[in-house]
Amino acid sequence: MKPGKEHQLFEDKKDLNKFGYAQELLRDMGGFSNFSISFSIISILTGAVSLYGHGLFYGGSGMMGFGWTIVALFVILIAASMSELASAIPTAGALYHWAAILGSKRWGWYTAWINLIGQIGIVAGIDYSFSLFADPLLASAFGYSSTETTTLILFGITLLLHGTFNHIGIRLVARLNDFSAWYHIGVVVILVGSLVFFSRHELQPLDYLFQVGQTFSDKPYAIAFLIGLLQAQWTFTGYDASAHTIEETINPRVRAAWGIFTSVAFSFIFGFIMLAFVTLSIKNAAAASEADNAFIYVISEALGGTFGSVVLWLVTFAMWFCGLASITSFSRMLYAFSRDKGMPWSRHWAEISRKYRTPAKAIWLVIILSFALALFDYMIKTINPNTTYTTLAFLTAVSVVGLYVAYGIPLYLKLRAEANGLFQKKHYGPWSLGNWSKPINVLSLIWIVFICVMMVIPPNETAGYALIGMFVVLLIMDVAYYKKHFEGPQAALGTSDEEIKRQEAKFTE
Amino acid sequence: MLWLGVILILITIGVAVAIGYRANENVRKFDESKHESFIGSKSNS
Repeated sequence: MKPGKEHQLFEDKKDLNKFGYAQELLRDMGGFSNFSISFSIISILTGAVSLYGHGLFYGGSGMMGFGWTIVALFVILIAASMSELASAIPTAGALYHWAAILGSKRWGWYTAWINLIGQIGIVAGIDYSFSLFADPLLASAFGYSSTETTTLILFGITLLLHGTFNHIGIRLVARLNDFSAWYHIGVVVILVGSLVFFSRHELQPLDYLFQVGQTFSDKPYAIAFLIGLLQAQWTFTGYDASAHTIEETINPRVRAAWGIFTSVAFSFIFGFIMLAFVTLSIKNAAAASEADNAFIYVISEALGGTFGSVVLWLVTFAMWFCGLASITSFSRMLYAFSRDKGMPWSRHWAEISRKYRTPAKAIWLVIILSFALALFDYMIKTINPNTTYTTLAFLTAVSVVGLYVAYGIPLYLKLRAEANGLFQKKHYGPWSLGNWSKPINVLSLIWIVFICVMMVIPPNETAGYALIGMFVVLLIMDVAYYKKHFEGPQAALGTSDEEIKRQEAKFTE
Repeated sequence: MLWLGVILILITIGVAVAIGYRANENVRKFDESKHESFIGSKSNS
């Protein structure tokens, strides 16, 4: 190992030990790997593609020009606010830990659970998207009929595969994520190049991208446009992954902060380029909005069925990478929360595999919870086949609201702690915004409140009911047990240096 | 609406670049000796 790297690893471990935690996870990720994990979870080829039809149906072509950019503008502010906190408090609990020490342990407990609900939604939503795309492809290859049941089975198999890769180790997952980042960029370049040079018809004029007033839904345009924002808003989720993998990143106070921020910024740019050229290739927007998969419909119309199939495969693989990274992020969050005893049977979920240095049991819990959420939705649809919402819209709305509420709580608490003089200038890490911090935090919070309301209005009210139901369960859990027994991350501050060394020694034997 | 769209895109890129520039400046200027880890208080409930 290079002396510089060894010194940095020692400094990073020392920083972590200050919070009372031992260095249990393998710290091996560089800056690019940290960026890649968030870039892979944002995955412009997953969110923007699988919900392309949703955006087009509600907001018309203007959704791709205005909707994508408006959402990106505010998400950049949210990402910057989170980067600042990641730099100041570099632990894997991230949102949960920030809320617990900026507010109180109960703020932390609620943030963790709300984050957890959003993470279940995002893992289930991504792998379900993959299954929705892959199942018809496999059905035509192997000669079976694609149904909701076969999609659910494929979803289960995908989760199992992702669980296995994550269990085996962060080195493998980090390499796959590095590849995934280049893969996403490569597919966008191929797609755009093909549309520019080989399209069967002329591209639409540029102002088509910013055409507003056309919706294919029965709602007034302003409302429809806001509902359509789910496409971009869901795409821009999961970048907290850079913070959840902070204990596996070298020089995390700088690199993880940049990872959060740059993953959002580059996703905006590459996502915009892709959406712009795909939208300018639309021949018949009404037909595209009614197609089973609007994105593939537009590509097939422009480049032919064969190319449409190729793109479909490329996009499907991107979703697979996205799902892989999202399980990494979720399992680290569960691990961090469990080491502070915030979950039932915490001891198990906080256990690190000595062989692979991954939170193996937490990884498999993630798989079970994500499958359970999709199974719940499947059962509702079996009981009531006339439901009008789609599984994907349900899962995505749950994840958007869960994650953004969890992003918002520590930002609010940070503003409050600053106003009370608790969090001061000396507490900021190296990555900070200086006197821009407060206005950026405030604008971020305004957007979070606004978008959370927008994501649960009809036709997504089922997601709203599900979230209210989950919150009631949380209240019961809190009052019945955790209010008295949960000690929060503050309890770790009492861990002696000897105990920390003893825990760390287990992984160096 | 084209001009409005172009302005919005430029604003978004401008905001991202400005924040990135600002953060990078602060990373370079960071003085570890003046920094104190925010670890919260043990009695925080």
